[in-house]
Amino acid sequence: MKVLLLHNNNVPFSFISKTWGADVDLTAEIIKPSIDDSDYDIFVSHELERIFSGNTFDLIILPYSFSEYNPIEYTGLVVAAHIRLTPTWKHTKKPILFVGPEEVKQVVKLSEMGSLLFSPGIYTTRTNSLSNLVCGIKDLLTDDITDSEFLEFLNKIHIPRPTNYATHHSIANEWAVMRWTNDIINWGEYEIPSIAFQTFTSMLYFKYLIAKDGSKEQISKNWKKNHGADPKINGISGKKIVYIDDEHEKGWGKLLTRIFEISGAELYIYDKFKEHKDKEELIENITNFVDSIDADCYLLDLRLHDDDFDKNKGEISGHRIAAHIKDYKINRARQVVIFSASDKVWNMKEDVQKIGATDYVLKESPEANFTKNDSVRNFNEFKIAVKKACELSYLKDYLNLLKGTSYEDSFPLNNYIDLALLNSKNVLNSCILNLNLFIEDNADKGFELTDGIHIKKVGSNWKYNILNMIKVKKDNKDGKVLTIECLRDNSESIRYKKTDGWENAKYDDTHRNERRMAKMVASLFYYYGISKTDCKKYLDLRLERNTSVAHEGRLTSLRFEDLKSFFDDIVTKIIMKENPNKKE
Amino acid sequence: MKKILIIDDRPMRQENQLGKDLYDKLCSLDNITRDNKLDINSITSYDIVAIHYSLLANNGQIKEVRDILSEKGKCLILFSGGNPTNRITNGGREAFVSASLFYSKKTVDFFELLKSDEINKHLLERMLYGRNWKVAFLERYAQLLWVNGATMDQWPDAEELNDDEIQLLNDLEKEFGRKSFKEINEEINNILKI
Repeated sequence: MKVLLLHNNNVPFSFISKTWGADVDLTAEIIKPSIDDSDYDIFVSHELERIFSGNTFDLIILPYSFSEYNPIEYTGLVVAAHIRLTPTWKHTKKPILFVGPEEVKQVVKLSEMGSLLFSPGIYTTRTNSLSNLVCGIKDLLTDDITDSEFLEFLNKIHIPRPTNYATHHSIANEWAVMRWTNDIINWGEYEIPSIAFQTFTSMLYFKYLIAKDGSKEQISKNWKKNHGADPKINGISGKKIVYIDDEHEKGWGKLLTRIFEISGAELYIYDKFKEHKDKEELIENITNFVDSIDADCYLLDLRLHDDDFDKNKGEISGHRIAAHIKDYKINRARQVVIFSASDKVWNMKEDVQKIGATDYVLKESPEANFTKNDSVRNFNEFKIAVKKACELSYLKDYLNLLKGTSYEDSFPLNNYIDLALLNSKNVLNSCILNLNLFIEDNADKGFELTDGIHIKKVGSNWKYNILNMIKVKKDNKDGKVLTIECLRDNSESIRYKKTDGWENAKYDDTHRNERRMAKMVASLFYYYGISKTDCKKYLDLRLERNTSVAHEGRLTSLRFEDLKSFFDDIVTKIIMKENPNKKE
Repeated sequence: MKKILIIDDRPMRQENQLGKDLYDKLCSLDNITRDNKLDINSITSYDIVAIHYSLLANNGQIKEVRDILSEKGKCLILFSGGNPTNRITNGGREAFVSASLFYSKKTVDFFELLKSDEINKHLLERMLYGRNWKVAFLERYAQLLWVNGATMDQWPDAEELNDDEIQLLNDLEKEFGRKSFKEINEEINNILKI
């Protein structure tokens, strides 16, 4: 029978000095923190790791307290709970015997963890006689407690939360980062981020949560390999992500840096929380940081300051920073993803609406009772949210492009951007109408060709026949433009008589729509220098507008990508041509 | 009157954790000085110095503060949000407590009691255990007897005790009277009302 006696010279001397009999193999170990061991959980975890390493005991004996000075701090209960809740030491179900002069009811009255004494496999004795003790323990050495008795222990025990983890917010932060890093991301060939979880994993409360969590789910060894999540976020290569979270040092910073590194994106972490204790000062510093980086996605926690946990302390920091990021005067198309711990999903949904955020991702908490599959889903939601924000960040570039140009207040372009921000198929038709309107407003203009031929607009008429300059071949079936020919030096088709001047110019008035289309393309091609291929995009957009969008009431088959391509290749060139001082 | 210095680099949590009424009460106590920075030269003017542990850990001044206060027989309280195990160390002159215990009604009420001159001993036990503070000593008394072989009605053989234990036993007997293991137990149960 192998017996482990833990003590701090606060048990009868005979327990340590005398032999316990032929059939008892005693190991006595002193548990004595130094004055500098500020974290008792870390101290105990470290000591017991050493003691249990490579050893198996049938019974563990210990006093109620290890203190030399204060017997009612009941650190013995803390140590016993660590033994029960640390599977890697392989003694979670062993019998534990408390020795000491205390009556159990006294301990229960004074200790928050007193219920441990009523859980299975826990025994107590007040004897200070070695012979009585040795006789007594032989009856205890039956079997380890059963699985159902262990569950009973989990249900009975009360482990107080550390103050720093008093809020749902704090515990979820460490829980989720560890869950993602260790349990559900299949890192495969990628290097696992090096995150020191020692403080958290040594914490008795955390061990308790893990045990509670593990009791509801059996996971096979290959689970992560077969069902784990891929850390890479596809489609965000080259993107810039700003991360604002006062909990970034709890592992999030390292984990996200690794994920974005793997995905080819750059992560910028705000890390000056400790330097700005005052809420207003902190918010000002963060907004300066935000404005210093032209990011594609701002990953934002909402509660960034102690005052944010008090409803009476005004608007929470995250809301104010989000309002700044989305400020109409700066750039309302900047993309915010809320990344926060909350036990109230409806609050988060309200936040998304209030802020105008792209999406939100909840950091999972132990209370959420996520299975590992739920956690994988949670991580994948994070990936989707970031990817979506990065995909929509081009709209921020459009607003930057408009800024300071003659088009800054362009109604159709601003409308288009606001609609595209909604990222809903339902607004695609409206987007097409706005882009078409912009072209009609801007491309329908007179201009001068490089060879001195003028095409002039007088009222609603064009004082030059440009129809013969544009030839369009269409598909007979659906009317889509197959090819465009833009003629340049065909003097026959340009019925321009130098002697007659402008007034004698004529144009064909038989096909109004064709004529109008030709004028637009003429402007785009001859004046704005837009390629035939891109002019064809305009004609396709125009056809879509004139058929399914305006008249047939059908949802367009064009996608946001098509409209983005239209904006990039046509609208941008128009803006740049009209604002030569603007840098693209 | 016992003077108390509270140094917390996150002063806003005083109000957050205490709530407005208790916070106002803490601020109104004239035996309490609050600060968010440590001025090492001023700490010996106080009977109890309470400091946020991280602040001292970050600037490496724990030993210096501990030595200065120990030498003058002053009490040091280190409070921390991360540590839930409340302990008294350094021979009863130092307490390591959770921030939730430190910023609680129990502690504020205790600091208020220190405005009178009636309480001069066992300050940290009184802060931690309130009206049960004596149990800490009675249990220690019981432990001393138990470790040295006392049974319910018998005292340990004096030869079993070393010099430190004899000194401790004398101190305890002086303060609480000569008691058997059984009597100590009864007194503890009386205090705890069990």
